[in-house]
Amino acid sequence: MSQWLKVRLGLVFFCFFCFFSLVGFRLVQLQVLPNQALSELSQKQFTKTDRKAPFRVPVYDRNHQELAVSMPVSSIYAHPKKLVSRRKTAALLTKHLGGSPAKWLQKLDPKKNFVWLQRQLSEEKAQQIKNLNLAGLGVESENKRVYPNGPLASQVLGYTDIDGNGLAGIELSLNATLLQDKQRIKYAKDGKGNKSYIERGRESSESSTNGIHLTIDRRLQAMVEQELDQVKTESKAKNVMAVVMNPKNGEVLALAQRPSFDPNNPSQSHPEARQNLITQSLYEPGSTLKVLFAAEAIERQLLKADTVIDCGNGKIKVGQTTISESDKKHQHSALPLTQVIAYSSNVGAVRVAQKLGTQAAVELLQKYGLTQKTGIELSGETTGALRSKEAITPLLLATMGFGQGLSTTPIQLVTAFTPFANGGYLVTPTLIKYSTEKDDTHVPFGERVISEETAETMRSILVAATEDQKGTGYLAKIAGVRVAGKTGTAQKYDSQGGGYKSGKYYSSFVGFLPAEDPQFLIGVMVDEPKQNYYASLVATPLFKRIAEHSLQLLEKGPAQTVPQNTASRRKDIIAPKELAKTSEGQWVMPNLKGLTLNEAMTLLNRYVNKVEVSGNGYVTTQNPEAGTVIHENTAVGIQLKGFSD
Amino acid sequence: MTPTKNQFVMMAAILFLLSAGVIWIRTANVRATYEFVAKEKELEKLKQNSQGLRIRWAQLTTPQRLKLLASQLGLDAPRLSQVFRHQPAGKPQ
Repeated sequence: MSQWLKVRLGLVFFCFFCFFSLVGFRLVQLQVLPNQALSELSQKQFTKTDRKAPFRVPVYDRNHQELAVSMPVSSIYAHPKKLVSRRKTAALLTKHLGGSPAKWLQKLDPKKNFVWLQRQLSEEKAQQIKNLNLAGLGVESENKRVYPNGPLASQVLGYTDIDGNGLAGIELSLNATLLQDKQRIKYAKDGKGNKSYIERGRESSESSTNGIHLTIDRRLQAMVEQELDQVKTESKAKNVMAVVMNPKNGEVLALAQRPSFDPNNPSQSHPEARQNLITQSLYEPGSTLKVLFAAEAIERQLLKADTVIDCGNGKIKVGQTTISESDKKHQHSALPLTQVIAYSSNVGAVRVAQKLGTQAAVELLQKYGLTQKTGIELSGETTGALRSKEAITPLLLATMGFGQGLSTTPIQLVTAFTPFANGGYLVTPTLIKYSTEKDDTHVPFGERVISEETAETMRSILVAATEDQKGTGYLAKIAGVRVAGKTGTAQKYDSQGGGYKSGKYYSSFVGFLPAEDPQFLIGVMVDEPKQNYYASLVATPLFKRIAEHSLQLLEKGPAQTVPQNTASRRKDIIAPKELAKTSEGQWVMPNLKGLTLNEAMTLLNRYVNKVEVSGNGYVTTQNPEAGTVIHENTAVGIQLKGFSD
Repeated sequence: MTPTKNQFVMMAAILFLLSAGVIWIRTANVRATYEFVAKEKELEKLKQNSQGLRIRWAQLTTPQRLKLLASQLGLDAPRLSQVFRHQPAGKPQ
């Protein structure tokens, strides 16, 4: 090889070396060394962003039962300007979605860039439209709010609009927590733009919560609503309301009213039915307020439970006005404070209010939270309408003593009773179930408003109100359980004409049980009952029925005691397996006394066609008597006793 | 020292095998990711079905519906006085 050739080869090699070195360097620069701009460019080319529809997290009751959930649905939209043929599209929409071509043509207004054609369709229908592959038509995934229990707890839950924004109730007040915004998810795509690699992370956070638990108990709520339906029908009342609360931590177990609405179709209900009367309506509370005045007088050591109060034989003159008892049965010359409450004496209550004076009256209303919102997690809560101290005349002070001349919301009134049930603390009612840890650290919620001694005294006064046979709350008495509570019957104020409406009353009962360790604080309100209007006849039985339902939810319910002098099972009793026969082969009635119903029926059902049963417990009486010959058509009757009935 | 023919063939074979391995891994990776995406889609669908079933379950077990069914069968909720809680032996009520 000549020298020249070697030089030329070396030169070519050098050129190639330089070229490949430069290429290599550039490759290292692009591929290995970090470069923000290039990374972003690369990401853009190989990733796609997918948007997920806004999602509302579920709402559960305290036992993890669904109250509000979101269901995936699809909505169809159009870009009318991009449509190839409006007429053809309208015809296809008519075929798949129904309606008339004219309707769709009207919707597909060519002047518009975007129109919703149909919202919240089923997946199948949406797929049909998708399969049409028409330019200008699209399907968007959305979530629809569903309330599986229908109208149950609708006043608590509220409802949302079609876009998933809360409009009332918890849906509104906790909208920010419940609504998980549109999620944007990035993923790698292949040459055709299809997803080709796992998600590269989410730009917005995942659901920050798996759902919200309310303090509501779905079972109790249903039972309460059933009772309200019954009372509304029977009394023909305008509105009926009830609240069941744990007085120790303020957890609301049931909150219901009639009329109500179905949150699945809120627009089909009357706007008034959608208003939460328990937190937004004002009523003059009536005699239930006497309890607060009495408690304050005791707290200030002005009165004791047994202090005798002049009841003026049912009349008292305040200025030029004579105030008299509403019930002529209770025209007493004097009564101890306990009976003033039990008999709901207006005159006695006036004396208590006068004893306290205006300043103390104003302070007590503030103390029991009647001048401010309770803080329950429902938007739009209103507060009581109370006059300023300067505007309180002696007559107004007197009427305030028995709950007229001022107004409160039902939730305020019920909350004001919590100190008597929990040792003196005014708790904040809550609808959100907090964790156990929080429960432990927050018991009791709220601040002390009366001493434990006063609370105890008030508790015994309120128990007397339901145990005294002449007391207005006697119908609230439940066998085997001590109940504390107070009735309230108030005339309704006429906000338009002034004065009080003739024949329009507001009946209520607020009480708690079991009195020795209160688990339930229950307030019931019947607005404008048409039949009986006295709370003792309308509200008190309703309270009792709700209280009985509530007690059934307790894990350790009230013990049913076996009354004395009634039958109990003898230890030597063994249920016979079959009936004895006479020598003629006829059956003989056995001695059933002391057997349980199950034992007696298991035996008798094999031989006779009909057995009449009454009572419960153990068999105490039987007909025919033991030893009598019986046949299959003999009418056998057994009576049981032993458990309180 | 120049490589022998055998050495050259062996190196070429190793290089080929390595390349084939890389291609196989890459293909398997792509296939797995497509499979993953498909499974993810399926999971999403199953989640939707599950959600639908939960809603149906909640609707079927509403207290109102259970009460209606019970009343059709002649059953009614017991009154408080009809509920008797058994106490463990030896413990007074």
